[in-house]
Amino acid sequence: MSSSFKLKSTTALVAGGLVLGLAASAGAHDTGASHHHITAEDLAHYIFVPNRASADVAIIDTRLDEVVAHAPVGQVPHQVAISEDHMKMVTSNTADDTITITDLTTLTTAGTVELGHEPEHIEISPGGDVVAIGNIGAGTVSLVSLESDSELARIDGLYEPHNMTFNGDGSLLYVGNLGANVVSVIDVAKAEVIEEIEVGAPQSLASDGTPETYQGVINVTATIDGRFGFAAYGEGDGMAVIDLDNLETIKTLELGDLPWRAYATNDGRYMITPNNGDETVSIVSTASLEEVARLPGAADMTGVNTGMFETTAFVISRGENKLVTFDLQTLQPADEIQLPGTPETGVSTPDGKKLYVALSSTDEVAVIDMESRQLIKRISGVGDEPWGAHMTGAMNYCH
Amino acid sequence: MARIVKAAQASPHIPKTVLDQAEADCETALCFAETLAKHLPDLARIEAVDHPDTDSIRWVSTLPSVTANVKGERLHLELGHFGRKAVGELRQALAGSSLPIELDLRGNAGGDFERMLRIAGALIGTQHSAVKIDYWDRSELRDLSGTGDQASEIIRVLIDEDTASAALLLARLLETFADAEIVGLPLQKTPIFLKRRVTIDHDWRLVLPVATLRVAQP
Repeated sequence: MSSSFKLKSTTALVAGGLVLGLAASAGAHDTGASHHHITAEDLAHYIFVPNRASADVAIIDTRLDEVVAHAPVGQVPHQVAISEDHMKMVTSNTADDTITITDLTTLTTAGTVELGHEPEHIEISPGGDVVAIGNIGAGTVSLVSLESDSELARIDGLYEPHNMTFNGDGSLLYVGNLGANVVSVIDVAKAEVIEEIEVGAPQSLASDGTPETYQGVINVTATIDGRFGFAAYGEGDGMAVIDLDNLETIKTLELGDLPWRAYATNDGRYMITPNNGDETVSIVSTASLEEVARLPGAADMTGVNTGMFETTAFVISRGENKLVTFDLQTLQPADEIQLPGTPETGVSTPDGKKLYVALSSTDEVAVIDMESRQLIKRISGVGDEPWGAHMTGAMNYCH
Repeated sequence: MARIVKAAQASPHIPKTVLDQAEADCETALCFAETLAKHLPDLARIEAVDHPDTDSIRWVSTLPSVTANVKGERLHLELGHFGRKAVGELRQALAGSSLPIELDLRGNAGGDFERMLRIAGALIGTQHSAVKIDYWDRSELRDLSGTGDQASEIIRVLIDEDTASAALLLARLLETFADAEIVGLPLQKTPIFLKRRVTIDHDWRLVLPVATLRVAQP
């Protein structure tokens, strides 16, 4: 597989102003707070919420459950990722074909880097110094240095690259391809695709008609020990279990209709996969590599979070504005939590006590108490069309 | 390139001479696919990938496939395509009705094969070894799995010149196993192909026949 290695020297194109001042002067989401600074010691208390329509990232202090600042980014931000080592936030600006790198200590823009068409999903290497961004519209993946704030390489040969996963030492990057039943494996040092792992058989059609929509591989979700990767293939209604060392599929599980992607529980026991075609949720044991439960879900499920010592799973249903919860001890359905707006994705705090869900239709973030399974607060002043929630030390994901 | 060559080699319907020529002439997967499509226009086709975002992919799954109306003493079911929710919609339409069914497949050009099998099972009930799939190196028999929904008699199936592939196979299954009357056109016995969509590159896919499908006689 060929690759193109394009060294670029884009650095610090934009010197950002103090963010809160900008937001307040525009009257967009005035929090009433003064200039805000984040220290490395405090970083774990903050949640970062990209706002697609207001081109900024809201910063929420989980001790107050309030928005304390906004950082300006580019147009239609899709996802953010945080590097603790560099105290930097990376935001993909899908409409600008750029990423914004924000200095978290000052909340100013450290750099804007031009990438390929439609950068969406972001993954930071285990060392925290390289960030991979999938340019879904161009079929390329960019590797960006957070030391120089510049693009190191742009790798082609992908098929609508979606979510990505680094291996333990950051030498390999596994890329889910939305446009194919293929996981691409990138050698990070060589900056090229070195392997393609087919996931299931190509879609079976008996059709003389026009092309249908196609959902390939959304993500490769690694087990906690990094040994196996779980890659669902939407059109094949199955999930491949990939040995991430040998890069071979060791098993293919039959799931429900149109599986989305696997979400790992923090204790490593289960992989939870929403099946959006038949509105069920498959729970797969990572020990037996078998589906141990298939439970009723809801429409348009966009994410799964777990908490309360991994006893409860919360499945986000964008189609029905609710969370469906499961008891992970009995593997049975539990409560449903109605939400006041359209949920996108969420993040649960590493202590498993609270879940924050971005509500795009009401410009809020919902706070869920994971023990009582209750909506306990609606955080306003977030921004226009919040699209996700991310924090350090947590299981972050994007849709 | 290797992946798409392997997929093409698995098709019994592509002559070896065409494969050899495409391999000899081409260095890229797209060139290889274009050569196949050029030489075998009735079998292989190239699709442009329009790069829908994931929102579109999820939301298109909500587009209805089944329209149900009571017409006189019968339940008229229009199955326009084999969408994501077609099976559930069909079950919902059948629930609580004991009226004879008229299934309208006019304009349905086929689609997902596995979903068609589930729909056939919901309409006909369990039938062992109902569909025969002939790959180049083996054959396979597929069952229809009944779900208890098929309480009503299927009296007729409407087809037209646009009814094709999976929809045509469904009509043949209903004629064979449910004694349904086929209305509109004679039911042609032309081959129906099982096809695979193989990704060529970021912008193109190749649709290749990999097997023929037919109703296995009871």
